[in-house]
Amino acid sequence: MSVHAKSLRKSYGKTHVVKDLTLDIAPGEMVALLGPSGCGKTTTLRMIAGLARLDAGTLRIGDKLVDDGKIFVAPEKRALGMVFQSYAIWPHKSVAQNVAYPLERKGMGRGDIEAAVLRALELVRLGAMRDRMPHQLSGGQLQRVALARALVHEPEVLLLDEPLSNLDAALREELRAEIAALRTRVRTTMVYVTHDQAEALALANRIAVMNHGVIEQLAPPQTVYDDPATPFVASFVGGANVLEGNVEAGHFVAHGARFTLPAETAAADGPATLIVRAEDLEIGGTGTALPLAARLFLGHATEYRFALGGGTIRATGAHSALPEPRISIRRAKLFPPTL
Amino acid sequence: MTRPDAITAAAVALAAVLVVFAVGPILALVSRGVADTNVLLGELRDPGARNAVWATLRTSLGATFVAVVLGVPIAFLLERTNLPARRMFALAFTSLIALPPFILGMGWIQLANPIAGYLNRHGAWVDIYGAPGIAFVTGTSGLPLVMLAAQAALARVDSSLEEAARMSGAGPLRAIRDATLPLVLPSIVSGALLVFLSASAAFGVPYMLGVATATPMHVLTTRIYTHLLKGGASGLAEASAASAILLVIAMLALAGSALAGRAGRVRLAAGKGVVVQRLDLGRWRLPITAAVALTAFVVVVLPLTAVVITSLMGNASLPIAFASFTTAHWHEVLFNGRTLSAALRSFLLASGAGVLVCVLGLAIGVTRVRISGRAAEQLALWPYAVPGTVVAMALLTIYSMDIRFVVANQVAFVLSLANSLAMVLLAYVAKYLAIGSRNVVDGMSQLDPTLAEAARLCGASPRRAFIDVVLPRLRAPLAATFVLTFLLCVTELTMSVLIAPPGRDLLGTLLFDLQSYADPASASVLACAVVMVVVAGLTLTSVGSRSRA
Amino acid sequence: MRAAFLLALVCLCACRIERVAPNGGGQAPTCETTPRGEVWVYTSVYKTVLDRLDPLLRERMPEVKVSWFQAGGEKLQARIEAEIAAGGVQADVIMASDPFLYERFKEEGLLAPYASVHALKMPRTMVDADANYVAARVGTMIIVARKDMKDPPKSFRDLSSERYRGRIAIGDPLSSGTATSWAFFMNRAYGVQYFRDLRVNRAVVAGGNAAVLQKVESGEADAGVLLMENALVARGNGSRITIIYPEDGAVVIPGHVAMFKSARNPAAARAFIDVMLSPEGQRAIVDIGDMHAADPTLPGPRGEPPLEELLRRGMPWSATLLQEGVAQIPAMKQAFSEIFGR
Repeated sequence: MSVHAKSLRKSYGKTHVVKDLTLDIAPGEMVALLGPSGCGKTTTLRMIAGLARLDAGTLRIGDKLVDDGKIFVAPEKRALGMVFQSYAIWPHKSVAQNVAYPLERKGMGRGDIEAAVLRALELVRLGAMRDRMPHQLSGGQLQRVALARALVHEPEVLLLDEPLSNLDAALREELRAEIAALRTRVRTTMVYVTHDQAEALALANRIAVMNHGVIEQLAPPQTVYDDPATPFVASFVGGANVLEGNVEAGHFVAHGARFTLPAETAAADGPATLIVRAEDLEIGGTGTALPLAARLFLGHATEYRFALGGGTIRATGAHSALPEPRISIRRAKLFPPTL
Repeated sequence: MTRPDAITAAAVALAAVLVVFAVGPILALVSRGVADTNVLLGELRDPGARNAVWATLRTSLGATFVAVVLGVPIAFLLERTNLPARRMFALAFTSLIALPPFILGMGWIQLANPIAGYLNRHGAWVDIYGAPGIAFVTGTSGLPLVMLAAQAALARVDSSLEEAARMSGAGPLRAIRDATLPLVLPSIVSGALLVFLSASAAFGVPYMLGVATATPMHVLTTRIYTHLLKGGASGLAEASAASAILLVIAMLALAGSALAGRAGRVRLAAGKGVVVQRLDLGRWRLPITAAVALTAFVVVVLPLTAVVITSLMGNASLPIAFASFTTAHWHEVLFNGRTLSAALRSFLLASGAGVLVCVLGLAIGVTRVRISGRAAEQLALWPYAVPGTVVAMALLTIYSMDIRFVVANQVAFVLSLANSLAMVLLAYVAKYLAIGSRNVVDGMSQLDPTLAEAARLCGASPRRAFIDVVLPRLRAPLAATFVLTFLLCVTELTMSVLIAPPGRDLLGTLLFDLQSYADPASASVLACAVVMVVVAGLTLTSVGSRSRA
Repeated sequence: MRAAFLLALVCLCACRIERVAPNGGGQAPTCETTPRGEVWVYTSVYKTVLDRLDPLLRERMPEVKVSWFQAGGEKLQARIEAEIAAGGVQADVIMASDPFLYERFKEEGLLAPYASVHALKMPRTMVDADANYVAARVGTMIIVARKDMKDPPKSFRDLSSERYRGRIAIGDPLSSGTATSWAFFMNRAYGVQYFRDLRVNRAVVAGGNAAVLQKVESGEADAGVLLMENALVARGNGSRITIIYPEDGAVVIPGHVAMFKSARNPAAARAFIDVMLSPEGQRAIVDIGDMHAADPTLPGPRGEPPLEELLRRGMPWSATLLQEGVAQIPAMKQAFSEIFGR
């Protein structure tokens, strides 16, 4: 089922948390809301869920108007599933009771519930844990219970609020893969809130990068990564280097260093912001000489940090024993100056 | 068994001290009644006693019902919704506890006695006398106990649990019932237990509304009182036997409450800060606000107004009219050095009692949770479960004489509590200890032990871990304990009158004097003044806590 | 181990340390002529009255500090019972309003005889023949009625009649000393049936005198049995009530003063009793306390008739009555409590 948000606004007191947000999600699509904390992504999700009411705008799920500031459909009437950041597993109910709850609310029969619960738990590979109490489970298992509970009643839209942020790195990757695999089995529309660009890139069909209550870019992962719409998107997704400086006759000058711009990046002279990814910098050769500040071995490559101005500029390359401390720009993007 | 750490040892020691000093005398007194089986059997066979047991159960269960039915929804509305004027409502309902129950009862008699009550001047429609009236008045005065306990518990429950239920298809009320209620149930049950016990140990209100009526009825406490007044050793023994019955009821209530709250006694999420999202009441906001306001009006404003009117009436036999009003009583009572010094003394004693009840409550909590010692927890309930008169009599029978421990025939340690304020303090602490132990035990049983373990691994000693990690998490229950104890003690009457040392007036003894010797108007003035000071204090602390937050 | 240590420590902290060895008498050497030190008085006399008595006591006994324990008669009794159970009464002097309590204490051997010179002028019926106690004041149970009451009761007997059904308030003999005395006289005059009639006619047993007054003033009851001093004070404050001397006799109750055998400062206790019985002390009781003094030469309070006239209007009083009371009151209380549904 599709989700259509049009010009959503929400403020708490004097802080405008969401400003004029428009977002259309196609049936079966998975959209990630990506951004730093406080960017309004969770509020947006909560408005879709019906846990927060919007101040202005319209929100439709499918072709049903669920909230326009006057008409309001309560969350339980929206047929959604939701996974909370805190898991929100009821500590006084067993795993099976937790998962069975949405079905009980639907008024399903005992036997059907049992079968559906088992199916949902199998889906998240927790079939053996059905009679455990929540305090006997690990964080990853709790998260899977949350997932099973959110999916068991086959919701039209599944909302996930930072579902993996409370897990350790290994578990996070494992569950990320599991959610990706789940996508092939469950054709539910999903809205996925995260501050982790890797999750967003790996899972989503499209990413909405949010900052200060607005969507800075809404595009497929590849586009967001390769062609960021704003310096913020570039720096937040993929952690590009952001340099403030001047374009001077096909060169970019920042903090006294002078870089040659590739031909397709050429622009008129004047102040500008240069965005360049670590892997788009070439090390050695005829590039600009910079002092090497640090070298981090990443496994598949090595990251070199060069001192520039007060900070560093990152570049990745092969782990040669002693690189020439010179870098040149292979590919970059110029934006109007942000300052 | 590992060696207990310093905190546990200290807690056990404190709990032991408590038993010796506070509960011991009550045990001694009650054992008088039980020791002589003839007395006990005689009491058990007496149909009057059976009626009194029945009446006690009816009024106490009724009071508990009133307190829970009003207190829990109010707590939820205050803590979890966007109800307007929450602070004001919280203040209004909390102030009930500052009102000595007998003043509340007096107010209600003026309002709703069937013959001349203000509300009944134009046709009789409320009769405050009898079991329902007693249940209502004691229930409303116990309402803050349930409300504060539920509020403290709600503050510990993450609202995402409730939201998850909403997302699972449960309506708002259903979500509260299924997700939040089971988790706050132990605290509610605990608050309800306190109401039940205080109602079954209440004396003033049942006496005024039950005994002193055209169709008298007795509860156990008024029966105990009657026994005591018969005088002599036999009276004391009969009173003890009746107290023993009351204690049995209390123990049954405790067992029942343990059963009722069992389901929700689970550990809540470890260190995660609790996120509380206020539920938007939407179009129900107005009607619900009106309902809460109406409740506050009936339960708080109405009886208070009656008390205020009484305080202004030159004389109760005059008609209620502006012309009959006078501020003479206010002058008389307030501009009186004795009132001021009594107020100061009572405030100090009540603060002391508040602190001690918190500390001892913690000690009991630690013994209960760390070495699962239930004895201290249960014993702490005993003084609370018997009427103040019995506590005072018990302390007097033990501590009226100096107790001397002679060491090596040379030095004597003399425990001299008779006619000292220390004995009053002891009585307050003994009587209201249950509030501390209940609140802390509930708070601690929902506390994740990994929190303290984490602190230990960070290099904190057990003591440091307790202070740095456990204590801050118990701030809400401890604060509630202090406030409740303080408010209950500051106007405590029954025990104060019997124990207060001569020449050292307390607010309670002054209230008693004014009530029984001067006139109800003067007593009402003092009651009004106390309520005003308490409300001012609560306002200040709530403003203070807001600015800190 | 550590717990036990802490426990002991806390216990000891609560204690005061004293030398056991020869206790040099603690108190200053007592001298019969100038009483000094502290004297403990347990009393049910109102605090306002005590406050106004203090200057007189200080003037007469400059070296004595009078410590009051002031509470209602029933609380006083309860405290004394508790102290007896603990091993000894802490009071030196008792000044309460229940004459039967004194007689009982006398029979239990708790009181010390003391014949004050001032006792000689008191009426014979107000003084114990063995000088164990002597009346310092006289309280009177009368009827009060609202001014707007039609056809108010004329006697205590009237109160139990059907005419006043649901309109009468009385004190509780189980909790108020003065109500006990009143009930004793009613029991003597009319038997237990009197209480049965009151119960049938829905009389309210209100508690103490203040409670009875409140019921009458607020209109919950139209008439009640009240201690005269309460009625006088209320009337003085503008209360619209009338005082009725019942035709079957007001109940006159001597308020005694006595000292305990166990008194720790007997000299001061005797001096205190002397002051209370002295002309000035007696005067203060009339002027400040709104009661009749036991001294028959003084006028009544607030223009009420003097003591002799009062005794004429009251039910007859004698020493044997007291012994009778001590013997019969427990049974009477029992009967009363059974009749009033207890």
